[in-house]
Formats: sequence, C-alpha cells, structure tokens
Amino acid sequence: MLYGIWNLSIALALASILILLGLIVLRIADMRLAARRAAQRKRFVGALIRFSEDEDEASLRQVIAETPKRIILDAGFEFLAMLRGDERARIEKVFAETGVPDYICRRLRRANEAERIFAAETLAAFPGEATIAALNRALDDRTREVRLAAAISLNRLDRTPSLAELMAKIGERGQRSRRLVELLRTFPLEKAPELVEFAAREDASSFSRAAAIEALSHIGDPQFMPFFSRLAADAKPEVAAAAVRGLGRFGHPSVLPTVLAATKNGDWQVRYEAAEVAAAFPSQEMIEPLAALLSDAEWSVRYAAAKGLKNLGAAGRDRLLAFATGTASRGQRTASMVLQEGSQA
Amino acid sequence: MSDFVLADVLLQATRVIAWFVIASGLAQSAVYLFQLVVAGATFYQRPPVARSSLLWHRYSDVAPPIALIVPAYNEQLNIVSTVYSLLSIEYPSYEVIVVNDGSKDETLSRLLETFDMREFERPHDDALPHAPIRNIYSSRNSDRLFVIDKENGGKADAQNAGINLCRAPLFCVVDGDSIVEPDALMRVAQPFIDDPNRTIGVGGTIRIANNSLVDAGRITDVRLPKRLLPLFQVVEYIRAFLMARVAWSRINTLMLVSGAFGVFRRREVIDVGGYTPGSMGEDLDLVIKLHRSMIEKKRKYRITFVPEPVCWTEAPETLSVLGRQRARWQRGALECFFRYRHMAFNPRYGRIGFLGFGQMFIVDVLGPVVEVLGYILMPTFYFLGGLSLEYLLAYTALVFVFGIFISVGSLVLEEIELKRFPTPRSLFILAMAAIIENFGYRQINNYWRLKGLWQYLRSDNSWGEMTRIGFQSRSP
Repeated sequence: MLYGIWNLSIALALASILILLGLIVLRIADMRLAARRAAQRKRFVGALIRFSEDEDEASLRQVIAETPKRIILDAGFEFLAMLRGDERARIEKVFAETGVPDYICRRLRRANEAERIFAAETLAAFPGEATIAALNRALDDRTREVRLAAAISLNRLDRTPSLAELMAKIGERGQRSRRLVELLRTFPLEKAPELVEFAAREDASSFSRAAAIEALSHIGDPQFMPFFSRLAADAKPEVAAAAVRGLGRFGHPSVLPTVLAATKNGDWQVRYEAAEVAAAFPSQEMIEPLAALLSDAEWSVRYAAAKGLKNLGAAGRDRLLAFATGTASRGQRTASMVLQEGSQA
Repeated sequence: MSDFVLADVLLQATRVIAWFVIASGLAQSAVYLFQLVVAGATFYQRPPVARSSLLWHRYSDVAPPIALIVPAYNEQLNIVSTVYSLLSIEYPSYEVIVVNDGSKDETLSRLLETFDMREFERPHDDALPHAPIRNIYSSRNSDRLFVIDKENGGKADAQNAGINLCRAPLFCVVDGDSIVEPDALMRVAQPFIDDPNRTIGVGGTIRIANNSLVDAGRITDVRLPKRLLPLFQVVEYIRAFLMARVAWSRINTLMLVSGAFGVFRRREVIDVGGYTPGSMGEDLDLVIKLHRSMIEKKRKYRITFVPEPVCWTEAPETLSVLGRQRARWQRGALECFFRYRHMAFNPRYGRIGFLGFGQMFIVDVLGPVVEVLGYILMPTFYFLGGLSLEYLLAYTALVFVFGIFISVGSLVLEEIELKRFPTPRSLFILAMAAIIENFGYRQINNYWRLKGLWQYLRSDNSWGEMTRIGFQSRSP
C-alpha cells in the first residue's frame, strides 16, 4: 500500500515533468513553423498584390508552385474576399490552372471538419463538373455543417439538387441551424415552387418551414400572397409569424384582413409580427387593432403597437396620447414612453 | 474502565472522521480527474476552430442581435477601456448597455464625458424588478451605446435593469472591468446559430489581464502577471474554464456561466425572474434556475460553454481583496446549493440533480472543510501515534503531486485550444506557479472558503469592496 502510494506519486510527478517538457519543445517547434509559414504567406500575398498591378501570370505561377497549397488556400481566399469582378476572376483562373481546385477537392474529402467546411465554401469559386461532383459527394459528409456549406455552394453554382433531396441529406439536426435560412435564401429562383411545397409541409419542422417562408418572401412575387395568407393562420406560431412578416414585405392592401386577424392570434410572436406589419400600412382601420395591442401581456407586442400608432399620422398619435393620459396600466406606461422616446437635448 | 472506553470511542471516532476525509478527498480527486479526461477527449474530438474572418463571412447574415449588458459599480478605472473594447467588437448587430449601479466614484461622469452622452428616453420593458432608474443616456458618438444611471441595488439588480432595457433576443453580461476580444461575440453566438431553438445560454473563457497591455480597448500584448497572486489565479482560471467548464458542458451539466462573460436568451431569463437580487452568486443562481425551469417544463435545451471566445479581466492583486472575493464566491455556491437543495439528488432533475449538484456538494460544500480537516487530522494522528510517518509523507506527497498533475494537464488543454500565452517561457512560469501554488496559496484559499462558509452560516451578505488597479496602457 505504502509503496503503491509512493509509486503513484512518483509516476504522476514524472508524467507532469515529461508533459511540461513536451509542451515546451512542441511550442518552440510550433513557433519556428509559424515563423516559416508567415514568411511564405507574406511572399505569396505580395505576389498576388503584384499580379493585381502587372498581371504577370508567369511570376504568380512561379510563386504558387513554390508555396504550400494550404497557405494558398488560406491566404489566397482571404485575399480574394477583398476583390470583385475581373480582378477576382483573373486570380481564380490562375488558381484553377495551377491545380488549386483539385487540392480543395482532396481537402473536402480528407481534412478535419473546419477545413472541410472551408473547402466546400471555396469550391464555389471554381465551376466545373469536378467541383459539382465533389460538392454532391460532400452532401453525404458525416458533419452537418459540411453538408450545409456544400449545399450553399451548389446553390451558388446553380446546380442544386431538389429541395426534398437536399433536406433529406442535411438531416433533421441540420434543419435546425440558422444556416438553413441562408441556404434557402440562396435557393435558385426557378425552383421557388419547391420552396412553396416545403413551406406547406406540416410534417416538416417549424423552424425549417419558417426559413422557407422567409426565403420566398425575399423573392417578392405577389402570387405568393394567398399562400402566405393561408399560412398566417397555421397552428405553428413560428410558421404563422414568418408568414405575417412575409406579407408585410408585399405591402399590398389586400393583406390587411389577414394582418388584422393576426393581431388577435394566441401567440405573442404572431401578434408582434402583425403589429410590426400593421404599422407599415397608413390606414385608419389599423388604429383600433393596434390600440388593443397596447394592453398586450407581452412587452415587445405593446411596444410595436405603440410605435405603429405613433407612425399612423395625427389620428394614431391622438389615440396614443389618449392612452398615455388615461388610467395607469401597462398600455398607459407604454404609450407614455413611446411618446417621449428620443433625445432630451 | 471508563477512561479506556472513552479512549476507544475517541479512537473509533477519529478513524471514522479520517476515513470520511480520505473518502471525500478521493471523491474530489475523482471529480478533477474526470474533468481532465472529459475535457481532453472533448478537445481531441473537436475540430480546429475557424478563423475570425471566416466566421464573419459565414455567419454575419444569420447572427442574431445581441445586447451587451455591463453592470458597473465604482469602475472608474476600467470602464472606459471596457466600453471601447465593446464598441470595437466585430459583430453585425449589437448594442452596449452600461448600467451604472449608483457608483460613488466617477464611473458615470467618465462615461458621459468620454462618449459624449446625452439624456435619452428609451421605452423599455418592466418585466423584472430593480431599483429606480434615474436617467438613460445615449451616445452622440455611437448609435450602439446606452448608459442607464440607476440607484444602487447590487449586481443582479443592475443586470435586471439592463435586461429590461435591451431589445435584442439575446443578451450578454460583461463585467465593467473586462476586455472582450473582437471576435468573441461571433464565437459565443455560434451555438445560437447552430441550434437556435434549444440553446438558451453560452459561456466563454475568462482570462486575467494583469500586466498585459491594453490599447484602445484591445489587449495588444499578452503578458503574464508579474505578481504571484494574479499568476496563481491564471492557473486557477485555466483549470476552471478549459478543464471544468469544458467537461461539464460536454455532458450537458454546466452549472455555471460566468457573470463576467455569458450570453443568454432574454425570454427564458425573464421567465425565471431574471437574476436573483442580493444573491452572492447571481451567475450560478441564474443557471440553476434555468435548468430547473427547462426540466420542469420538459423542454429540450442546451446551456453550453465555448472555450474560444475570450474575455480578459483584472484579477485581485492583494490578499485582502482576493480573500473577500473568494469568501463571496464560496457564500454564493453554498447559498445556491442550499436554496435549490430540493433539486440535489432528485431523480426528477436527472443529471443536473445527480452530477451537477453532486459535483457542487463534493467540491463546494465538502471540499474546503475536508481539505482543512485533512491538514489538521493527519499531523494529529501522527502525533497521537495513529499514523506512521511513512504514510503521512506518502499521502501528503500524493495529494500535492496530484494537484500539480491536474494543473499541468490543464496547461496541455490551453496549448491545444487557446495558446494565448506568447512564449515557451510563459508556459514554464505557469508550470512553476502550478507547483508553488500547492504550498501556501492552496491552504490560504481554503481558509478563505471556510471564512465564506462561516459568513454563510451567519447570514453575512456583505459584498465587500473590490479595489481595482486598472489596466496597463501603452499610451501615457
């Protein structure tokens, strides 16, 4: 027992010393490597800047050949992010001709998760069948973030598979990410009917349906108005709220009855969106529904309603003033605060 | 006969106590070892993190708005640096709300003057109670900055006022003596982007900025503290954040998101009544309330820790200030453990009840008592002849070496994940600090924690003054 305790103590002490020495050695090696990489990176970025000025492809190719591909990927795409138009296209062309896309495809298959996501994003700069094939393969990646990044890149290259297939590949967890909003926003316009079909699916998650509605509302096509009006009464608050918000983007008077009905919805998110949208319509019809929301239990709904009344011209302001000078209540407090909102000086 | 029986009873009693101390000590060591192994496994399996510029490119369109709430009481030395650091954060949609909690120094006047503030009427919620607000100010220099000047009500009260005033769906509490790294908000928001429906709270890493250089609200030169006390705290913080938080977060049992830097969903916090006024451990209290509420509502949720977002803070440099802080932390932990004791080991609360509260019981409730008892009993037994010198030395050596091993292990985690200390020399110094802290600092820390226990038993609720030195600046 005694020897056991001593042996354990000695083993732990030796392990601590060895670990510490190992850490210091690794850190020294890491610092040297980092210094070498920094020098290579500096040389490569310098070559990119010179190429932007003199368009001397031969020298850029020479530097690319002498620079590790990992640095080209990191520093090159950081540099490309600052460029647009022809200048960017010229550098991408040189990258494409010097085998950078092949390297990225390999990274997309074999690297760690962070690098695979980055590879999926950067591949969007290199259209071509090899890229599309690599991205389609990445839709089956074990990590959902990689699958999402690959899907967004496919959207950007206009080579998206069907939405049903995409959603199945992204999986249930992927459909909970806010990146889904971006994915659906970049979904090709001509495939909007697929978004409509998905938004209407009651078996899909509320979050993903709301994201589809959001994407459709950005298209701004008035033919979606009846569809949105129907969804504004959906049982799922997240879906109904997204539909009401979407209706607000159309700004068409025909959506008013739906918005008015939404101000009485049982869920605060829907009432909030309705109050926000109602405020955008300079209509006398909106005054009483908004005034009713001033007594809402939810602060954000009361505030949106009060702001809406304040923006509805003299009649709206008078109604707000009447509330503010009335008996003490939630609505009175909100009305009073909104009327005083702003700088004192 | 009676003397003989009494001696026998005493011997048996001391044996029982000794075994209790040994068992508790072993349980505590098991908790630390478990944390180290789980944290190591987490970092091993975790992918390397993306660069800040990539995060911006990837998430800026979908990042949710965040309100940064900064409760400030007598923070005249650091508040301007803190606000500068917050205004230079790289995040698409955020606002900064500084809550001057009735400071007696120049906190408010420095803010008003530096950021050209004017009185402003801002409609706000009254969902959480707090001491009366005297004025609200907005900055002429920045649309993002607001200051609430309110009567003193304590940290929790100030945070509640900030939560009422903010409009973003998420809020982030930041201490008034802290420097937030520019990409920290983008990194801490990532769980809210990846899993927006379930994530309700996320904490980031706190680091000690003593002796590091601060320029225009940014840490420009990371340096280790020159003084021993803050240096020991650097080691402690590495253990607490990169080992303990990572491990508990991994098994979804995180009990604490530091009050110095943590992001929460406003709605859920309002549902549980916000921060508990007058609480000594308001951050721990809030997280426990959130766990309780979500479990009772049978909702799926996540409270998680992300190591990469870093917030730098000033650590106490004197024994008296540090002692007050540690006693207060201990009171906070005990207060929360006993306030929510119905959750402890209650099957209804699952892993929070067993693992979360179990860990609090072993480390916070029993920990200091057992360790001090150990220091007293072991030599006593030796002098009474109940313990041989060989065993006393062997056991003592094991306890200290184990402590050093855990600290060195946490340095490995630091090297894998953050690597914030610039040179191999700093690693060596930290390792030396991890050894030296076992001889003196560890014991005095336990004394402070026992003091906290005593204050808790006497219902002493004084907060204690926290004297600041101020950040070091390159510019004069």
